[in-house]
Amino acid sequence: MLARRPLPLLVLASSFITGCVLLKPIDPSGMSPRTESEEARDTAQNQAESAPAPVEVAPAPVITMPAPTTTVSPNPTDTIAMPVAAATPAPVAREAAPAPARARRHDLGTVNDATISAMVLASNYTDISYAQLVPARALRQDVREFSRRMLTDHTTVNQLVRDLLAKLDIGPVDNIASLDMRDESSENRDILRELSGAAFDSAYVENEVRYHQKFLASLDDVMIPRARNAELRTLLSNVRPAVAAHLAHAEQLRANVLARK
Amino acid sequence: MTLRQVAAFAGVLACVARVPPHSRTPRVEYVSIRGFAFAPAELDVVVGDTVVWTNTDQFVHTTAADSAAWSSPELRTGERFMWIARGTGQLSYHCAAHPKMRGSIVVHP
Repeated sequence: MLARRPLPLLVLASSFITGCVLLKPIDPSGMSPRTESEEARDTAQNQAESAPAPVEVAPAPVITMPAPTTTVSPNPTDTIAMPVAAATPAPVAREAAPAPARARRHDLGTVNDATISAMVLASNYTDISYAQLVPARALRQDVREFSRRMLTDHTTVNQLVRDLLAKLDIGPVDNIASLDMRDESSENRDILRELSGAAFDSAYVENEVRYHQKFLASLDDVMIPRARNAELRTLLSNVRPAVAAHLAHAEQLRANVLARK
Repeated sequence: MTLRQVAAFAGVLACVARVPPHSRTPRVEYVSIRGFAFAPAELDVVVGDTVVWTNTDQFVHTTAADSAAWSSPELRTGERFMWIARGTGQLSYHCAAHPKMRGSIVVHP
């Protein structure tokens, strides 16, 4: 009989097996069973994620930026790994609004003369945009004077870069780094726009210190060593002392703001 | 020695007495402003010397004594400012636009 009716029996047997499979309790996570060590690791991760991130609880205007250290590849057109800096609370700007928790991308994208040009232009426009917020919001005269200087010097740099690019017939091309600068600049401006008086002074000066630290690191680690054209490299090298002087000035200003001199 | 000769000799003596012992022909000393720095950052001059700062940087700078003995306007690329040393002493100065740029001049008798 079995031999004569093999098909129904096979159907019955396969249905039984399928039913067993379907009746097996389904893991709500949709994942396969895990070992104890995996469970422990995931629990730790969940705890870490559920804990409040420092960025979200810090009252200061935290500006995330790539760490100054970069891994430079010998190939001039490949990408550079750049660790994302952990956001730390700014000591000066306690009165300012909290910064948005935001992760930066890990690489700069293509690095060549065209993208380096876009990076340096974006860096300068960033600080110009910050300085333009100052007249209507700052309280301190030295902060106003500093912002006027930033406006003048960074406009000068951009003019020098544009003149050179025209001469070399190079068009700036955005890469991840220059686009990130714009995003970051926009977010920081949103924070600064909401402030005024002493709170603005603190947040602006702290932001200037961080901005110039980042610009200097970018010049030293990426732009100057990776520029292929000698004139572009010379221009970037000439810009470096300006950025270093601005950083020193901003740090002095921050100390004065902190001391309420 | 006639009276006229005595008077002439006295006149020469008076002139010699007025000249400082270390006097020399006044010089012009040059300070270049480049790379956000004064070069040389330290300078020795003598009373009567002229110091000329030339901005060879591509950014605007100034030169201003901490004591307000002099203060230049903003110097664009290629512009100069001069100051004549009148008194002795050490004078520190800076760029008003970039206060971390500093220099000093020692003025000798």
